[in-house]
Amino acid sequence: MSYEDDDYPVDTFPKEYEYTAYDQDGLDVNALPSNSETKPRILLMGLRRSGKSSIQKVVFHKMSPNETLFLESTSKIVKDDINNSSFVQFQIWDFPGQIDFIEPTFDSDMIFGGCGALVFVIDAKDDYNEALTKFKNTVIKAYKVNPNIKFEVFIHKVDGISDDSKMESQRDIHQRTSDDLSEAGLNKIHLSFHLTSIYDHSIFEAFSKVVQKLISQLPTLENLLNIFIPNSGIEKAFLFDVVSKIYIATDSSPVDMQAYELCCDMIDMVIDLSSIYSSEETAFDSGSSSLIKLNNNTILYLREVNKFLALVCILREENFNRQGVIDYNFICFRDAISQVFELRMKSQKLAPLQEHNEQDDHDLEDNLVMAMGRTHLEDDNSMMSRTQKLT
Amino acid sequence: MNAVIALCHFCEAHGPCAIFCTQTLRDTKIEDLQLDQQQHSQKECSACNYTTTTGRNNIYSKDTESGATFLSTQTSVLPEVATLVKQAAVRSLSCEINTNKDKDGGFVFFGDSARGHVLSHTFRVCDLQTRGFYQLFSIIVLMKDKYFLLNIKPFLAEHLKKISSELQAAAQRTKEAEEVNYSARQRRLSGAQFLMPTPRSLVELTCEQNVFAQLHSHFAWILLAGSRFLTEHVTFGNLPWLPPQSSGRPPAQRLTYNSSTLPMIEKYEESIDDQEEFFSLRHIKQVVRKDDFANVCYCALTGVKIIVRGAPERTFNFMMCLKKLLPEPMHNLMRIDAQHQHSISSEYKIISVSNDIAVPVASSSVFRIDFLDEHLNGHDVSVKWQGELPRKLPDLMVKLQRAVEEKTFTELVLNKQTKVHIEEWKNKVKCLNHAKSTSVQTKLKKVLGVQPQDQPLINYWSTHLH
Ligand SMILES: Nc1nc2c(ncn2[C@@H]2O[C@H](COP(=O)(O)OP(=O)(O)OP(=O)(O)O)[C@@H](O)[C@H]2O)c(=O)[nH]1
Ligand SMILES: [Mg+2]
Repeated sequence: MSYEDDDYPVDTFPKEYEYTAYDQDGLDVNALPSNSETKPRILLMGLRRSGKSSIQKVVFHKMSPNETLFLESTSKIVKDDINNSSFVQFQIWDFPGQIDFIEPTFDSDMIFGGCGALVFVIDAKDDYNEALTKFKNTVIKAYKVNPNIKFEVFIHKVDGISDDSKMESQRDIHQRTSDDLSEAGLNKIHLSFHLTSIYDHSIFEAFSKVVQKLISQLPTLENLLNIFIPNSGIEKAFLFDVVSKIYIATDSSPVDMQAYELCCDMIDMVIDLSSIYSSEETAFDSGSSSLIKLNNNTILYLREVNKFLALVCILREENFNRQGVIDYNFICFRDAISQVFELRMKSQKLAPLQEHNEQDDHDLEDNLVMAMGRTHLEDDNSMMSRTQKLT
Repeated sequence: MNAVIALCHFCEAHGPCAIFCTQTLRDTKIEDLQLDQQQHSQKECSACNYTTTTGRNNIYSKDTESGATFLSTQTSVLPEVATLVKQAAVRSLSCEINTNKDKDGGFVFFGDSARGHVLSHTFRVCDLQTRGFYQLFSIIVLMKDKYFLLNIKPFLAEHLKKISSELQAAAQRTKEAEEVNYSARQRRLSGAQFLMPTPRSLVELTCEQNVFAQLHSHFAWILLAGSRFLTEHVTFGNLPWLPPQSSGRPPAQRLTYNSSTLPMIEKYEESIDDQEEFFSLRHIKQVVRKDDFANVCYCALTGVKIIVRGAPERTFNFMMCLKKLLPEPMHNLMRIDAQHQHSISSEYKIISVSNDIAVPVASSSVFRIDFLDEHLNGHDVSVKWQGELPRKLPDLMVKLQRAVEEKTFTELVLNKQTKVHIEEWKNKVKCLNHAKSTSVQTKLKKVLGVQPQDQPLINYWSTHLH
C-alpha cells in the first residue's frame, strides 16, 4: 500500500504561516525565557503511518503497544513537554506525516532553529523509497538552518522481521542515505541508525541514545559510573529515568540489549508492586530499592537516586557479600549526582553567558574517586572478560 | 455577503485539503466559466474528491430574485480565491485548531487582510476504517470583511453547527450499522487488515448519495441569508445586538418584505381598495380575546414590542390590521415575516416571524401573540403579556374602542374612522414636537386637549414623527 502524492499542493504558504513560540505556550515562553530556550527539542518526522505518534506515546506516556492501533493520524504538530527529571528535560514535536514542512513556505528557522535532534522514522515494513527522498530533503534543509542538529534514523516496526533482513534493510538504507547526502555535498553530516519496534525494548534503547546526546553532563555522568562500578564490584550499571525507562547514562562497557531489558523489567516490577501498596505518586520515593537474584548467579540491584532517577546495577552474586561497601559507594555516587544537578542549576541561572563548567565536573569526579571504598579488586579482570563475552 | 464557504478534510493519506467549495457569482455568468475544463484533482482519492449522483463536477442554483448564482465546485473557479481557500483549509485543519473543543466542534477565527479572514469550524465524523475511528473535517467561511464576519458569527455558528451535527449523526448511524456484526476494536486487535487502500468519502461515511447536493443547498442558503442580513442592517446602521442608537430613528424606508410573504403583499397591494373593507380593527378583536384586544391596541399605540409568531399565511392579515394602528410615517417600525432572530432584538416594534424562529419570552416590554396549530381552550391563538393597562387609557384608544364597538359601522366606515382618529393624533403630536420649551408645550397640550394618560403615546410617537 502506498500513496503517491509527490506534488502535494501546499505551495504558497507565507512565512508567518506557522507555529510561533507564542502559539503553543505563550505564558511559559515569556515568563521563563532562559529555561525554555535551553530546553532542547526533539523532532519526530517521517511519512504518515510510520509510527511517530506511537513512539511518542509508548515511550513517554506508557501507552501499551496494542493501543497504538487506535491512534488517530496526527493532523497538526503536537508538542509535548517532557519534564521528568533534572536531566531529562526536552520538548518532543510530533509532526503530521502528510504535510511537507520543509516547503519554503513554512518557517524552517522556527522548526529547526532550537532543535537538538531530528528523529526520522522509516517504516521498515513498507516500501521506503518515498521515505528516503523525504529524509534527504529534510536533512538538507535542517542542516542549512541548524548544523548542530543530531540526525537519528529509526528503522521502525522491525518486529516480526528476521534478523537477516533487518540487517539488510539497515545496510541498504545506510548506503542510500549516505550516497544521497554526499551527492548533495554534505558528507560530513553524521547519521545514526537504530532498528526499533514499540513491541520490545529497542525503542527505549534507541530513544535513550537520542536523549543522551542532548545531556551536556553525559561525560561526567559516565565518568562517575565508571568510577563507581569497579570500586563496587559491579558489572554494569544504568542510570534510569524512571518514568520513561530511558537510561540517561551508563558506564562505558558495551550495552547488552538483554541486560537493558532486564533492568527495564525490574523498574516496571518495582513500580507495579509498590503502587499496589501505596498511591501512584509515592510508588517511587527515597526509600525505594530492590534486589533480585537470578538463577545464573547474577543479582539485579536497584536504588533510588532522586525523585526521577534510579540506578540499576547488574553484579555477580559473590560480589554482593560486601553490600555495605556497595551501599556506601552508592551514597557517594548519589551525592555526586546531586552536586552535578546543583551545578547545572547554577549554570542555567548564569546561562547563556557561561557554558557548562567542565572544571567543576572534574573536581567532582576526583572527589568521588577518593571517597569510594574498594571491594574485591581481584574480580576486576574476570568481570571484564564476562562483559566482553556478552557482546 | 461576499464569502466563500468550503468543506475541508484531513485525509489520512494526503493531508489537509478543501473538497467542496461554494461561492456566489453575481456578474460572472456561469456559462462563461469553463467548468468542464476545470481539472479534477490529480489525486485519485475518494476522500479528497467529491462526487455527485449526476457525475457533473459542479452544482449550482440561481436566486431569481437577486439574479445571483451559487456555484459549488471542488476548488474555486477563480484562481486567486482557490489559493486562499487552499491555504485556509490547511490552517483550519492543521494549525488553528481549538484544542479544548476539537472533539465536539469548536469555532476558530483567524486570518488577515491579505489572506482573507476565516471562521473555521472543525468537527469529527466517525469512520471505523480510519486509524482513530473518525475523520477530521472543517467548514470554513472565508471573507474579506473582518467585521462583517465577526458580526455574523452567531448566525454562522448556529447554522454550521447544524450542518456538522447532521453529518455526524448520519455517520454515527452508518457506524452503528457496521458494528452490528463485529466489534471494530476486537477485529483490529486480532490483527485483521483493517485499512482500506483508500480512505472513504463522505458519501460512504454518511450512506447518503446526495450528501454533497445537500451541502450545496445549505451553503448556498447561508450565503443568501447572510446577504439579506447585510442589507437589513446596513439600512439601520446599527447592529441589532448593540444598544439602539440614541436618536432611535430608523431611516425612512419602506417595509421590507420576504419572498414567502411577497406574493401575498403583491396580491394585497393590487386589490387594496376592496380588501380595505374587509380587514378592520374588528379582525384583531376576532383573533384575540376581548380583553386582549385592549392590550394589543395599547401596546401597538405606545410602542411596546409586539411579536406575532405563526405561519406567514395566517399572520399576514393580522399584521395588516395592526398596521392601521400606526400613522403612515411609522410603518417602517413594522417587520412582516422577519427571517432572523436578530430582527427581533432590533428596533422594529411590531414583528411577525414564522414558527422556526426563536423569540424572547413575554414580559412587560414584550407582547407575544402565537398562532397555534392546535386549539387551546377553544382558541387557536395564545396571547401573553406581563404588563398591565393603566387605569385611564389614552384618548385615542378610547375613541378607537368606541368605534369598534359601534354596531352600525360597516367595515369600510370603521376603517375610515380609524384613519381619521390616527391622523388627528398624528397631527397633535407633530404640533407638540414643534414646541420649543416645556412651558409652550404645556400651553399647547391644554389647547389640544392632551391629558396625562396620553403621555405614553406621545412619548412614543414624537420620536418617530418629524
Ligand atoms: N508492527 C508495528 N506496528 C507499529 C509500530 N509502531 C507503530 N505501529 C503501527 O503503525 C500505525 C501508525 O502509527 P502512528 O504512530 O499513528 O503513525 P504516525 O507516524 O504518527 O502517522 P501520522 O500521524 O499520520 O504521521 C499504528 O497502527 C501503529 O500501531 C511498530 O513498532 N511495529
Ligand atoms: Mg502521528
